Amino acid sequence: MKNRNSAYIQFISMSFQTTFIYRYNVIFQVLGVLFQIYLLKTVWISVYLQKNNTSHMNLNTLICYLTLANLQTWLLTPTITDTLQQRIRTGDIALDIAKPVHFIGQLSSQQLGSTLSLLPFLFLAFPLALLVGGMQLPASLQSTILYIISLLLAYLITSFIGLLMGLISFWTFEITGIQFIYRFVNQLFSGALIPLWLFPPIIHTFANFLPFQAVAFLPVSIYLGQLQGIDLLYAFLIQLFWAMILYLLVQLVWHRAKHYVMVQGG
Amino acid sequence: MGLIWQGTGFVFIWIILNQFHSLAGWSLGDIAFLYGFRLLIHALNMLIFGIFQRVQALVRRGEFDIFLTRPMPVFLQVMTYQFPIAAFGDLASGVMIFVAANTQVNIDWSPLALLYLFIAVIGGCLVEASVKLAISSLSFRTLSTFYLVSLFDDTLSIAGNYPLTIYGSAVRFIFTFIIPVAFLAYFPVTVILHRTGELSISPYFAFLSPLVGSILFILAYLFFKLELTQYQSSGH
Repeated sequence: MKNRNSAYIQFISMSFQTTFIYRYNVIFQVLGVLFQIYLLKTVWISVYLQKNNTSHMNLNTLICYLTLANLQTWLLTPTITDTLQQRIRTGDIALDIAKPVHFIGQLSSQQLGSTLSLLPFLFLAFPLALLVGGMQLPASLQSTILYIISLLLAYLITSFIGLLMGLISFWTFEITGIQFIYRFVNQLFSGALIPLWLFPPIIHTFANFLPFQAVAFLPVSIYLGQLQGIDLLYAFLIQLFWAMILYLLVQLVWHRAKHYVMVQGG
Repeated sequence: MGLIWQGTGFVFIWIILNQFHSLAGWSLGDIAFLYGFRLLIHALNMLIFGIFQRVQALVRRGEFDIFLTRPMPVFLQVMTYQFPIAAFGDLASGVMIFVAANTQVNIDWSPLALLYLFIAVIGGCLVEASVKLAISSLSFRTLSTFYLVSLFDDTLSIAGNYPLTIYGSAVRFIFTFIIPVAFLAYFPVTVILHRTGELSISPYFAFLSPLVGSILFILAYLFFKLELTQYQSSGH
């Protein structure tokens, strides 16, 4: 038991360090996110000034929403998809599977290390995010705690989606098309660009059936105290639902992939 | 990667304008036209000058040196090195979107207007090319400019899709005189849509965008040649 845990920690640590080798890549990503926050804020201020009603939230809350949602979406971007696809393509994946450590556990550890490694960059970027966007304190202590739980659930959901996309590489090496669609749909339906209630009704309904709102919209709404009572409960149920479904899917797909690999003689 | 933002960017604006009906006085049709115009320019740029973004990769792989041994100007060699077939796809979609957007606005396409459109597209193409050429030229001295180019690319494409009036005056200044995003599409489009009244600078600037584009391109070309003399091969 102790050996297995130290193995996982090794994976987390290795993955964590790898990010710093590609630190310029991350820095430019962060700059991109900051610019996106700035642009979204600018466009939203511009339209808000025109219309006289204030819809659900006032401008400052909206800006906080956009800042937090975009930073969060970036933080939760799954990196394991590319890692996994590379390993499968080079065939090194056979070595990984042969290791005496549970395969999905390895991947999860790598993803965790990767996500954790983004935190230093996030802390450094935070003052800049305050400059180009804006932040507010959480609505209450309760909101803070609930937000952290919601964030963890969101992390699970994006990780599982990332794993699933990566596992598909066992069947088809070219997953760039799927990743393309994922990035597009995730950007839009996570609520990072537009809070979900401002979607046209049809699109809003459609968005409710997708897991992406759990990535940014639900957690950030909880942070801002926008969801209370039954809505709050509902939000957590949605997140739990997706986390469980995706977890089961990951197990299922991996099970099939294992058989597929053996058939290939790998 | 830039193309993803093109897609979500427009959906984003469409959803917003669905609710709020105008952005800085621009209707959805106006924005669509600006969008289509910019896409057209981008596609054309990719077709003709797209290869220059690969200079960085060529330098890193040591493949660039061979250009220096041939008796043809390096600039021309790079330009004809590979023909980006994929760019035709971009061009096709750019044209389609531009034509579709055209149905949303009322423009009197007189011969003069068409001529200006033609010149403005070329001018915008030169503006975009000059920025990318200048950045790519940096790879002659410092090897890694890939992420910088991507960042600039994305910033330009995103920022250029909106009327400049939404930005504060400091940012407007930056996007006009430091990173010439405004000259790429926004200024020419204000001329075509007869919106030059909303500009905070003289309409002549807007009208002469193609000229600005040409000047910028010549400057970028000179920079390219200058950096080339400083070229240190990655060694092989």
